[in-house]
Amino acid sequence: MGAKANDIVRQAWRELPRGDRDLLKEIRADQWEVCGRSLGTYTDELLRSADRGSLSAEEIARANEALALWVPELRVMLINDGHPAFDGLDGPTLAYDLSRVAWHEWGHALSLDRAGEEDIAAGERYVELVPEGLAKNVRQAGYRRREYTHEVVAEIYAILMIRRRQGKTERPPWLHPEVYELVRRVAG
Amino acid sequence: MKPVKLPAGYRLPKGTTMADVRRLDQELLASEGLEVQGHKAKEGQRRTPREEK
Repeated sequence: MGAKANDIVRQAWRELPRGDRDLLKEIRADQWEVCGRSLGTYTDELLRSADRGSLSAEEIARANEALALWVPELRVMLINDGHPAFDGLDGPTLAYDLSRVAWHEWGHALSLDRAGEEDIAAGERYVELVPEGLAKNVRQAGYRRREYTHEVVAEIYAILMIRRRQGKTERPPWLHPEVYELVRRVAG
Repeated sequence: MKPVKLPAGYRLPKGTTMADVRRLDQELLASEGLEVQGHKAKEGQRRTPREEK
């Protein structure tokens, strides 16, 4: 699936607003690899080979469950297109899912670099303000409290991109203004 | 050596699938008259049944 998946991610990149792409380039978050590997193990290999340290066994196990990762230490987004979550999807659905995951990770890259300590500390509040289903996914996916703000930004950023495909660029009626302002401020 | 900055990942809660994620997206988008493009909401999303692989 690698080449096809890579084409989908490249298309998702092109669909980002020019200002967002510029911002991602500015923070060196414009590289990705579709690798078809368990991402914790692979990231640990990459870190070690670059002499940039290593991940703990616990962190490797957590990351192995991920469909995609933003690796700030290496400034690269990794997507495991061999993850069971992508198994057997038809073309349009695969394109939707991979694009959504890529946008989520670019949202992460922006959030990790640009969210302030106050934003991170307010993570629980932001989770309370997003629609119930999104909040449930953030709470139940095993994220740490200090990751909540980044998860909110990444999820909302991905959904805003999905809306943008359909010509909607204003604040969605279902999104609390505080969360919208957070995403606008952090993600460009 | 300074500590490694931890990666940020996209993980699903146990028992949650990307189909569930798409359904949630669809609920939000439908409230604005939008659709999840490429998602066949009622037909399922598998190209072939697993057992035929």
